[in-house]
Amino acid sequence: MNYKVDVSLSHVSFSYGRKQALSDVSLNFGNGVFGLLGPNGAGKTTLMNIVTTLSRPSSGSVRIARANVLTSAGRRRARSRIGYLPQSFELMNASSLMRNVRYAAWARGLSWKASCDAAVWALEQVELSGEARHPVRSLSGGMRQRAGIACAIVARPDVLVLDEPTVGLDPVQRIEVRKFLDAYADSHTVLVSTHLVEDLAAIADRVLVLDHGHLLLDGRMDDLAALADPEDSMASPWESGYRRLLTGSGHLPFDQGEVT
Amino acid sequence: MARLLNPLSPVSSLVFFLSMMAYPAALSVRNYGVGQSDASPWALTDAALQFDLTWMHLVTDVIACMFGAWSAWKACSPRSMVAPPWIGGPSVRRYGVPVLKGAALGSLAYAAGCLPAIVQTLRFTGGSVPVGALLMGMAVPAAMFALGYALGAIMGSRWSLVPATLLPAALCWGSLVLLMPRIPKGDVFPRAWGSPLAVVMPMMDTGIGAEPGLSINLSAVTVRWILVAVVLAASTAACMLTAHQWRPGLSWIVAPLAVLLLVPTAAGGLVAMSGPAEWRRSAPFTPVCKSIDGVPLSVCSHPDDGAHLRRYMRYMRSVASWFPKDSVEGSSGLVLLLGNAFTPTSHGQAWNLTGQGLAELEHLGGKKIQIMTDTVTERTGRYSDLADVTQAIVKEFIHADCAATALKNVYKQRTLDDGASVSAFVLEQLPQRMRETVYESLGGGSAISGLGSARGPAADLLNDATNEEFHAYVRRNLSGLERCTVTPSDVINDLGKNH
Repeated sequence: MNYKVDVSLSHVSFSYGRKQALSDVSLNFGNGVFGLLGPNGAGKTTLMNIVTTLSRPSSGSVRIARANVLTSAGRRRARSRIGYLPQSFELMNASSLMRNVRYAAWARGLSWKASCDAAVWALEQVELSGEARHPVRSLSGGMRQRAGIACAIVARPDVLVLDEPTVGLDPVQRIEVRKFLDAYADSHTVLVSTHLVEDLAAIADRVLVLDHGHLLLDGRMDDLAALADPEDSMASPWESGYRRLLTGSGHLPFDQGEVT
Repeated sequence: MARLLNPLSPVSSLVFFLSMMAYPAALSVRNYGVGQSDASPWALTDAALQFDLTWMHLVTDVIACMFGAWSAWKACSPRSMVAPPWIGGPSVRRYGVPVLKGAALGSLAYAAGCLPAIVQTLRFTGGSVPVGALLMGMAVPAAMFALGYALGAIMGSRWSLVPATLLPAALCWGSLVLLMPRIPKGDVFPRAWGSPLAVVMPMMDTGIGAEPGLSINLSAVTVRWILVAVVLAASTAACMLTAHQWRPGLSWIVAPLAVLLLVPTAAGGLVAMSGPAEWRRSAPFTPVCKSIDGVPLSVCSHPDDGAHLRRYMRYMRSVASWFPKDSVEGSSGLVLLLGNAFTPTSHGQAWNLTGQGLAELEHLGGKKIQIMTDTVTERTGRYSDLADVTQAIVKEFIHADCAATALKNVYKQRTLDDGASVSAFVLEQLPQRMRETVYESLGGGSAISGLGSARGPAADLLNDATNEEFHAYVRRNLSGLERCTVTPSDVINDLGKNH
């Protein structure tokens, strides 16, 4: 696989006091969907905070679009190229959905006029065009989640980071979001953290599995499926492989190395 | 409208706008009766009215700061998806535009709340719109919104409402409490409240709707607005630092807070060190004096108090119209001195005037009476109100010695039975009638005093006469009233015929 490298982490470690949250992680991301898996406390949010420049690593270097985010200027440059959807977020409930997304576009540097086209595009991507005039407070949970995605993508960021983007969505909506992410990843970097392995199976070009701050796997979804227990009929091959990887009973059938 | 307010929510903006204007509006309306002789009993005294109007923006300030914190929490907290701190893009406009919009809303709300008081001022004093006083008051809610917005952006949670409530309360009420003991209670010139810092602290806005009012030095208004600009810029800068440095944890908060609090404080301190002081007038000075045609009545003021001079000239023209020319011939006259400027700070000298100024005053002759145009909360002197002035004028121009003891009998007997009692009864209500006529002539509402305590046909006719009828009656009978030759039946014949 050939990836255009947009995000590069080199020997990144991060600790909260004495607790090591990430340990010597090196990764390169280019165009495509990158899935981030791991149990609670594995270091997923820390890794995403580092990629989105919200946290500064204890050691190592981070480059986004060739900008060194450990410097002030580099961080400023990188942030204008990142879209981020956190796990929980707020919108301006009294305002219309259109007003929210337009303001999000304007706040990210678009002119007020251009923000209209951008908002229309973003709402089309998440299939919320019909709700544009409705106040956000009238939207369902799934619609709010998609509205958040619309705000994150409205300025068409080069790097899109999504924390649990499909939580609260019904199966049809999940498929629509997957479709969008798949299409968006053709020309952008998409990093998705989720517990729903099937979502990643459908779209991820690469999967990263973290546990206790260590990178257990950096490979394709097929690599995960290869670890599956053939006798486990209750789970999909990816879920089975993921479980075996975490419990330590799975043996990696390939060499771990950087995929670039 | 929604676009104009973006990212401030239209609903919250409306609620906060109404809240911000509620207190000044309520005070204005509550005090509407002050200045009218039939004011309702719950209207405040003049002193209390002036106190309220002077500091009427303080509640607005607290609400403006809360509004700022609320808006920032909604629009740009870390949990917000529309403009969280971590996004790229030009943060100057992302934070500067909402700060400016909210500041404008705060100022407008205060001005709207003051409207009833301003209308009251225009109706009863004939003065002009108190632009300086209004601008002084409008400045502070603007600054408070900006401070609140920055607090909301820095803290990024609804808890920012707590410091947003406490900070303006501490700034405004705290400075008020600290400075209250220094506010002069008597006649003080020059009017400097202990420190030029008074200019920059969010406290005084002075005199809206109050008479006598304070004159606002325009440089003080300018200085305050420059400081508001500093607060707005510092708040925006603090928000931008928040955006740039935001990360989980709290250590990064120090830099934005330092910008937010230290920059305006340092700027305020610099201004305080270098002035200008607030109500300072040049001293000693040569007064500007103007005389009324046909009546030996002059009005003098400090050259900086031209507005007061024009206002009192209008008053005095109306007062002079009560006296036919021949009735005041031979009187040495009165000179009305406006403003505390005439009172020296050192008691070593009688007047705060140049030699030429003193000579001009002596040349005018007559008795000098002084009215304190700077008075705010309390007056120890006598001439603090137009009614005092008209009383002095009546005493000066109408020498009805024959009626000197008659008023006591009028009170006692409650009837008018001779010329002396008629003169005493008329002279009793004359100053108040004059004062009301002044306000009526300037567009104020017509009021019938009904002041006299006596009853009977003649007394009732005098009591029931409108100010205009009373004015005409006094002009026709002034010489008779002076000599106590107007009997109750003369009153009935005259007023009964003309009523």
